[in-house]
Amino acid sequence: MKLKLYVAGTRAASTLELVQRIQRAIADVVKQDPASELEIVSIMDNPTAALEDEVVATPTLVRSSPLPRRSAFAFSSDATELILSLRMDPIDQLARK
Amino acid sequence: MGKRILVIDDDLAVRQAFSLTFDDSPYDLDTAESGMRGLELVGQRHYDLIFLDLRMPSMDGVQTLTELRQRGHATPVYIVTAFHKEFLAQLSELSRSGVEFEILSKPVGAQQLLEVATTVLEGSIFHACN
Repeated sequence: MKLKLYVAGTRAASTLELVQRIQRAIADVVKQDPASELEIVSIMDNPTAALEDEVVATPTLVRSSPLPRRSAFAFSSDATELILSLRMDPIDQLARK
Repeated sequence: MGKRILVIDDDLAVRQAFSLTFDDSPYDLDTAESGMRGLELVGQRHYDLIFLDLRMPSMDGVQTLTELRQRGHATPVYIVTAFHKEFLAQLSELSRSGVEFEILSKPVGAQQLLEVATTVLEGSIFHACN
């Protein structure tokens, strides 16, 4: 699974803390998928990528692979729940409800 | 007590759009037509979330946010701006200094505003599937 975390900047304490929480959650949740990658993208440096991924607000976590691309706002969310929800396809999520 | 949002934008139409969007929401919304007025309101009452326009006359979004943080307010602030380098360049210095803020793309729809507010204020997860 390839993930991109879009942030406003990379130096704010809350962003550093969010990155750590997401990295921990990835390590916990996707042990069976060691090829998982997390890329941190600053919208300040790369607004074009944000537009291409249809990011509306920071922080947003995008699953770019496997397709379909999925994304979720990551502000103050439970990181493990966030990763789990992005791993599932929408049809699986419906089945869970 | 309900959660309270402040919108700081010099454009009346934008302030009205925010008011309409949050009219039926569980959140209380105040608006300010300038950075100076916004700072006055923040000094008078507690806000849980602030939407701040980047480009405003006399005191712009960068100056307003800088002053807000210097006064010790840690309220989450979403700076509303287009995702273009020309606009984002104004925020680079703040970003390099580690100042806390988030960015919301302009133009933004009512549904997206509600999703951002609910995510920030309630910790909910909203997805988009492209």
